Amino acid sequence: MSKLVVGALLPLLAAGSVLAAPFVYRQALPGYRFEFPRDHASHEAFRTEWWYYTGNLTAEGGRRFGFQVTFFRVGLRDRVNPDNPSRWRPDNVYFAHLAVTDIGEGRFRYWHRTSRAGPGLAGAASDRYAVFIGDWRAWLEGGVHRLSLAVPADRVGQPAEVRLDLALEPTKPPVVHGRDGVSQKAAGLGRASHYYSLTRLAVTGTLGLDGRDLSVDGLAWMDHEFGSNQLGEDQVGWDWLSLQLSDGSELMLYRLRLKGGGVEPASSGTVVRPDGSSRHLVLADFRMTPEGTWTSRASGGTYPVRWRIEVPSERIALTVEPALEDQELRTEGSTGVTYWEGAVVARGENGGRPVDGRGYLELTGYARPFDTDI
Amino acid sequence: MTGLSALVRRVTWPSVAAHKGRSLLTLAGIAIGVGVFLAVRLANVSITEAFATSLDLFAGSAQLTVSRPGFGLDETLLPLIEADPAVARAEPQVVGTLVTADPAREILLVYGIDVLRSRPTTASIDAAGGDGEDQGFLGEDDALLVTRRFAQGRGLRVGDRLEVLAGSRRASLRIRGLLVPAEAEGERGGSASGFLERTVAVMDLAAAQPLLDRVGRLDAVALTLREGADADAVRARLTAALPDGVVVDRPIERSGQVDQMLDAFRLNLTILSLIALLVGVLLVYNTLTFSVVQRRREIGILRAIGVSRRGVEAAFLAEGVAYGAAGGLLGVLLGLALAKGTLGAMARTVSVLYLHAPVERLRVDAGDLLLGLAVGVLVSAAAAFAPARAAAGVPPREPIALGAARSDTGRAGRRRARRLALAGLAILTFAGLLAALPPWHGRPLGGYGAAFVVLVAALLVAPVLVLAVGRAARPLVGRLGGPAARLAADHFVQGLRRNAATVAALSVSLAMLVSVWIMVSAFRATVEAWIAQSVRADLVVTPAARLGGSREASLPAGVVERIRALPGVAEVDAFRGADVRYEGSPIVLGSGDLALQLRRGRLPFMAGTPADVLDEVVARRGALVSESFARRFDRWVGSTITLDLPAGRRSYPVVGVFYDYTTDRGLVVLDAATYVADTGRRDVQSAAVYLEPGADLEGARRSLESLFGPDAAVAVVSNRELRARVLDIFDQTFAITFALELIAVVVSAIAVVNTLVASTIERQAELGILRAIGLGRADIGRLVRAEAGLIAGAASLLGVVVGIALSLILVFVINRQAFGWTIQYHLPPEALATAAALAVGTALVAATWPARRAAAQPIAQAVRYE
Amino acid sequence: MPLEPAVSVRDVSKVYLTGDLRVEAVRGVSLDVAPGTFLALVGPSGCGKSTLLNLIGALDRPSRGDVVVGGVSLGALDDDGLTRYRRQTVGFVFQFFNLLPSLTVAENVALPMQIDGRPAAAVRERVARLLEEVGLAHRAGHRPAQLSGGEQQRVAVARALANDPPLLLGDEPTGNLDTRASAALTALFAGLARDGRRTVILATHSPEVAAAADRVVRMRDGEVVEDAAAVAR
Repeated sequence: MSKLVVGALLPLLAAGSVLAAPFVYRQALPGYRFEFPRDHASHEAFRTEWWYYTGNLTAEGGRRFGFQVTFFRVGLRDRVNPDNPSRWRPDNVYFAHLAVTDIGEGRFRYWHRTSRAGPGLAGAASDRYAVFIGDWRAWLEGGVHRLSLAVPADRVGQPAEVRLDLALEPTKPPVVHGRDGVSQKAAGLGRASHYYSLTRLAVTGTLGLDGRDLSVDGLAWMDHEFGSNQLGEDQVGWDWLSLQLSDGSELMLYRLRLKGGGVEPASSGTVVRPDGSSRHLVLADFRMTPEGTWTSRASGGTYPVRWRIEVPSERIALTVEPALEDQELRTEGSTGVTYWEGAVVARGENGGRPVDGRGYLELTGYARPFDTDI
Repeated sequence: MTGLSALVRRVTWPSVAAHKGRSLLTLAGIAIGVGVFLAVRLANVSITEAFATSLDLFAGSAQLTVSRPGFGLDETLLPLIEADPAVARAEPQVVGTLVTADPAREILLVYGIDVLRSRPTTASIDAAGGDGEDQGFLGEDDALLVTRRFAQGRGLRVGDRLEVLAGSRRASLRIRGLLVPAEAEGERGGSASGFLERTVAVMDLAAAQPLLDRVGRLDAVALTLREGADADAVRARLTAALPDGVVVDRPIERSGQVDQMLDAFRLNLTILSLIALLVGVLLVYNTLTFSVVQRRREIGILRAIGVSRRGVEAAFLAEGVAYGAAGGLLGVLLGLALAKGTLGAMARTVSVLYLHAPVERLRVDAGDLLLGLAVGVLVSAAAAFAPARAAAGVPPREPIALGAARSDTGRAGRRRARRLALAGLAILTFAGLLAALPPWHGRPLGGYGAAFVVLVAALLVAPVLVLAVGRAARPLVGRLGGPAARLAADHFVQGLRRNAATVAALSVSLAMLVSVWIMVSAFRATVEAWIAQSVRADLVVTPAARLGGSREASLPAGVVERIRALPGVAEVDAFRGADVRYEGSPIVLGSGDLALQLRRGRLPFMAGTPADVLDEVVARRGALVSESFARRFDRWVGSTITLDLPAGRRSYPVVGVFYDYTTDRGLVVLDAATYVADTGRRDVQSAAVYLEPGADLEGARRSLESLFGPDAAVAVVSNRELRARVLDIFDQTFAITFALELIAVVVSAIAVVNTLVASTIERQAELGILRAIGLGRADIGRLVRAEAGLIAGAASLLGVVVGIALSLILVFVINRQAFGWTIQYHLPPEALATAAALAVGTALVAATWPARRAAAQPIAQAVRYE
Repeated sequence: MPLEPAVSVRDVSKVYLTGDLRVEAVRGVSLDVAPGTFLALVGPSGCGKSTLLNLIGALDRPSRGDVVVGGVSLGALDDDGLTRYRRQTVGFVFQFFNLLPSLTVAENVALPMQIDGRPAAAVRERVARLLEEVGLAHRAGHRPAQLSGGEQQRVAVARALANDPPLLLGDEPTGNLDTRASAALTALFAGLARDGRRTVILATHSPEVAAAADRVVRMRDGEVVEDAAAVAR
């Protein structure tokens, strides 16, 4: 889903773009027709774009993990000089975040990278799905999504801190959020993004942690979103949730919080049924009620990590609990944004029948909103 | 030691205090010697450290750097470098110079870095007044970060524009943030590396590459390795993986390269700075010798009442040490005061001759100051050694005998003087042997040794010279200046030791002045003749930034063709050049149209004849090398040199050796076609334009100036201006050398004052008698001045002879070994005459005060003296 | 009418200041010396006799009073005048360090004449005559160090006479000599005064010298305490 992480970057990177630049980014407008696999690839005509994987994995022996892999692209083509022949011309800046939650051990770790394309340092292809920063890569291979990321240890000769090699196979077709190809984020034409998800990816692969390679499998969720101008100026953050339920359905909800405590009327969600069909939810269709908070010692932010979720029309009523309380990312030196993004477990009922589920919760704007102290 | 302290307190101190003038002069001498030594040392150290910390700015923690000297590293190699498992961070950078477009023509050392990856390690960025974002300027081609001091000095604020010359263009940059030393922010410990030279600036790589003409290339990639990585192994692995010519080395080695390049220059200055110190030593010797002579009776009494020989010796040594300590202390203060100016002068010279030195801060650590003090104490103690021994030799209760104190003029003294002179002549043989030695690690140590031996020989010969000059001058002086003047000749001979030391001091400083003068004058004449012969172009076109000191600036593309098309232009020669390495040492690789050069310029060849050379250069793809190159690497016609160039490893037969005085690193010249083919570099650093016969020079200059459009910053220099400029740089280079020599002469003037005062004190009674029998005050003054004249005369004689000897060593040994230059030797008579006149003038000025003092002495008191 | 005195000391005082100490070496001394007198100044060390001699010889200036020599007031002379006075009117012989060690006997004697700018030939002739007079013609080419003390002082006398000064002053000239040499020198001084053209004033401790003098002036504590013709004693 749309990530405030990138929203926070926009004022940072776009500062001073008062020069009359010939390049104008395309707006996310209704009528967009998604086409796959083409739309997995990068859309350079839009300013911002991200590919977002979150999932819950189980290793042999039942050890449970959550993971998050995100690649962001922020375009600066409307401010660079197109005649500058340097490969370092920052047409785009790429960011990546990697987080692993070791639920059993109660340990959350994350890493991040930033780069421009430069001479082959990072990039996102426009003609096929392949994004990378250094040796962190995500790509599509015969209909299967592949993730390969490794974080070497500080010391030579020691095993990598983490190594992630996953194959993610979609078990449902892509779900396009919103209406008419756009997911509205605020009132006004173009205050929107093009946004789709692969809501149920079957994952197999290897998770290497401190030298031990674990065979893992599980379920993942992929978001891909692109747009140019989607955020409203009075939005201070948001709460986003994705759940994969035991009955084969999925739920995605987001709530944009406004200055002064209100909620953006454009906030919305999607219900995906076991057969792959989906229903767009508007704000009036659902309720998200915080039921408990966790305060970060590192950032001082207080996050509502426990929720009560209700979609009365679908007879969905769930409680959402974090798999681990501390899943806060503080990305000084890259995006500079501090947010909470972590694995959650859900319990309750869907259509009157008891279900449980797993998913990911993202909470932004609770610690130093729009903090840009890079 | 209580005995010694009592002795010092009761005997040494009263004497020092009683002769305040003399004591102060001695202190001044040591202080100047130590001051000059320290100033040069501090300047040297500051320059070295400035280079080291300028490397540190973005590679503070880097263990290795990857570079491609001369041509820049192909940036597409970066992913390969980064992929090495031991590399934690790889930070690319380009480093170049911009020149401010205003008349101040300040050189900015610009680091182009990837602002997303690299942060200055010794600075933080303050964008106060801007938009508050470090990277808010990403993507702006004109964004520049300058140091806060630079901005403040120019009254610039964030957001303001700065006009600069970049290569052959004019550019308008915007200040988007200020660099402040990290320590000021309290982020790092207050280490010295937190200092930012004022003229350092930072840009993003994307903006810096086109501006500095480095598109596609990097000057360095700084590598931070993972913990526990074996840097040597990584180095070997990367060297093997990367193309030939790519250098992987430790940052310290990069500053080591700079050190190596500057080595000869700095060694030279250090040696010169020692001359003032040597003169200071002679001054201490002089003072103490006199002190011993004057206090023989006192020493005799002390010995009689039971002070041991060693006690006496120790007391005089203590006096020397005290002079050294006090003078050293003053010298340290003086050194600090002088160092700033010295640093400025040296930095300018280094920037002109070698590479831009972004130095303005004097780096002072306590160690250097202690060293200055220690040098003062040690040399003074050494100088006190002989007088202290002499004092210890005074027998107890020596009978008071007139003239007994001047025993050194007796037969024994004369014999001793002769023996010393013979020893002096004998060690000259040794000087000859030293001069014949080959350089040691590129340093002409033998030459310096020979020069030192010659100076020592001069010291040894001085006593005999004093005797001879005194004897020869006596009748002559008597005839010219009357009987009183003749007495001066007697005084001169009688104060043998003292006068010999003074003559030695004056002649040593004079000899250095004369030798440097001869060398510089011969060198200048050589260079002048060389330019006249080798630079035949009517006009030279070069980037304005280059004249401002930006070494790597080049001309716009296609320049040669455009100039050639102008009316009145007969031919154009394009000079291309790059700083590359040969066998690991920095050299300059250049190219020109050699056919044209040989047709027009008559390159002065040392070996090989122009016509044959031309054929071979083109036909065999040969190389011409400069004399300095040939000497440094011992590569002459017939040998082959191999260079790692962007096109690969290339070997060239050496087909000619030519005289060149533009760089002491060594110059290899290829034909333009070969150069372009093998380096892939087409950019032209300067173009020589030959006009049609009878073409209008000024008209051609105007059309050249307007050729490149209003944004261009290209200078068109006429042949005459170019020559003047070269000689200007030449003179600037040697200005500091002359300054050092003149300081030595000033110190020796102090020795003259000291000696004359001593002489008049010693002869107080005699002067009283002379007054009593009818000599006027003016006559007494004349007598003192005549003695000064004799000192100066002897010193001039010795100084000029020794100076000529030293100049031969400088020209044929030191310069040839250190810089590889053949200088056409000639003696400028005006230099010798001026030096002699300077000596006499100095001595006469120095005599003013002693003369006045002697003349003012009351007669009645004087005759009762003793 | 008696002859105008060769030397007239008129109420002369000399005060030295050494640090805070004020020493009045000569206190209001008046003395007229007739031409051709051989006068001995006697008295204990520190009585002021050397100081008085220095004042007469213009080696020092009085703090008060005046010295008139040959009708010329020394107080009225400027520096050049005093130099000329010392060169032409006075000859001085000292106790120590009389001769310049680097010059030969003849050169020492010639020095005052050369300083006075006499023609070389005249100088040569007069040097020979003077050395003849003091009995040292055979020592003309020797250095002072090669001479005995008595010989050295005779050379000093010859030098003092070089410009034929009407006034000869000696400060303990025999102080360093043995009895024989002292007697010879005393005779020489006495002979010089006897021809009446020259006034001789010697400061001395020696009773023999005093005995040979025409007039003996005794000083104590800067004052003249006795003034008598030697013959009267």
